[in-house]
Amino acid sequence: MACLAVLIVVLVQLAASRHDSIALPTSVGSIEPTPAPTTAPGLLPRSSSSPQLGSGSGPDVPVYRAVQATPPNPARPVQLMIPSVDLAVAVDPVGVTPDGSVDIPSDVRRAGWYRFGSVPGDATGAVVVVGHVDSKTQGLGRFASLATVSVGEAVRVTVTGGQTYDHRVVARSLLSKRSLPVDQIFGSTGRPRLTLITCGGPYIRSQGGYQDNLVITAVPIGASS
Amino acid sequence: MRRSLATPVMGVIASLVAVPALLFSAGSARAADSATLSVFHGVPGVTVDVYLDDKKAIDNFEPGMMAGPLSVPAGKHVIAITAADAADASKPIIGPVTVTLAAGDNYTAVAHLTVDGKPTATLFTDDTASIAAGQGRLTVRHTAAAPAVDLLVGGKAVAGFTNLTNPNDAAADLPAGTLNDVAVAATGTTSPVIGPTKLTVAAGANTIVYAWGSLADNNLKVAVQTINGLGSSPSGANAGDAGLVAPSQQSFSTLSLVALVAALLGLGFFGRRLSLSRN
Repeated sequence: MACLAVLIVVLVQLAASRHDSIALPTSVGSIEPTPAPTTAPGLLPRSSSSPQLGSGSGPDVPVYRAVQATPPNPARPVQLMIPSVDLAVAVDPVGVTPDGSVDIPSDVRRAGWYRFGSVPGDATGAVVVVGHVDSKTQGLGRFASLATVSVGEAVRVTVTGGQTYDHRVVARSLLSKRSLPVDQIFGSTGRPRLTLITCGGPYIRSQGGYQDNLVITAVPIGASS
Repeated sequence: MRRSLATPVMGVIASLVAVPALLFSAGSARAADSATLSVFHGVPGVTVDVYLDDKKAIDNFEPGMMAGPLSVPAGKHVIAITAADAADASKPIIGPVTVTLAAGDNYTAVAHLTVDGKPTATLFTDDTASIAAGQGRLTVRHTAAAPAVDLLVGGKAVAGFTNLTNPNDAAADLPAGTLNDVAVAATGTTSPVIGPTKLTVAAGANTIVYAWGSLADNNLKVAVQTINGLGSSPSGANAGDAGLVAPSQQSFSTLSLVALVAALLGLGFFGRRLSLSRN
């Protein structure tokens, strides 16, 4: 019986270790509180006689011409590649659906970049790329292969103009859709990161289908041209 | 990384606890004892100094410029605006005005012209409530020496932004994006007194547009202030509807169970044979 007990423990641990490499995004320190709103236009501090609060002892007060800042960097992701799982997928900009969830290209062979989030190269925040794991009418989606991506593997994002951004996977997590940490996944604050999202976990038709989101977090390892 | 069953479970618990805790602390930080104040100079043709509580806060402040954001203690403050060569706040050209700022709120004090063209100051409260994912907030403030106006987009008055009078504002949350044909016209008319121009309503930001200057002096202008960081995240991602990948996972679990049972049975038989053969 002792042998049986040991065997059971080993089997249970093996089963557990399947999930053990799945570090939650918390472990990569990507949870950060949403900062208080700031007035942050294109600051044009004046070169001379910097205005100050109080009689010279307070902080400088930024003074700038009140015009609309030029639009942000227009470069956006156009392709995502994960060589270790033979994934190469075209990426389209997406927004939100009427129900408030992130929009996803209906073509399961394409992925979507959340255009209200960060872009590769931004100093902070999540570059979010979403894709269908499957479709009743189209079968398996390209993002089905995310299930076999492992920590440490490389992810390359190509943006308009051809510049590439390389990343390394630091976490793969199955997270319940009911308690998805959306600010952590989509947030424009916190360390720069790439978040890949699809569906996973149990499929329960009477409860909306897939119960979980499969979330892969990768961090940039430098930009190249 | 520790390999134990407890790790993922503890991780989940930690994340469930940590997320609300951090959100709560962020909320608490906002509700600290300070308010946020910006100052906009919308009086044409005059360079000024701005005094806050009798201390010079902004030196040689020119029309069309914005100063801030300043973090100031909540409560009452006195704002006075003087000529740029004034020695102190004793002879203001606008004010002194006493304002009461609530902790955690954002304000913009605007030096501008009344509808009759006289210098004045107005304190506006900037709406920093969170904005739904994919939307931006547009605020329009009438601080010009001009009669009531309508905001026009594509030549048509925009509901909620009509009959706006000095010194008032109007705001709405809209789908984020760039409006290509934005203009301001006297209420009920469609010939622009300002514009047409492009205006980007950025996602997650309050884009505050000021109409300032004087219609009579033919120097009406637009100024833009942006308060970022107000956006919300999407509610989730519905990225599959067929269940094609779930069955394989379930069958894997089933296989594991079958393997476990088989292994146990096999071990049992093997053990029994061993013991039999020993006998």
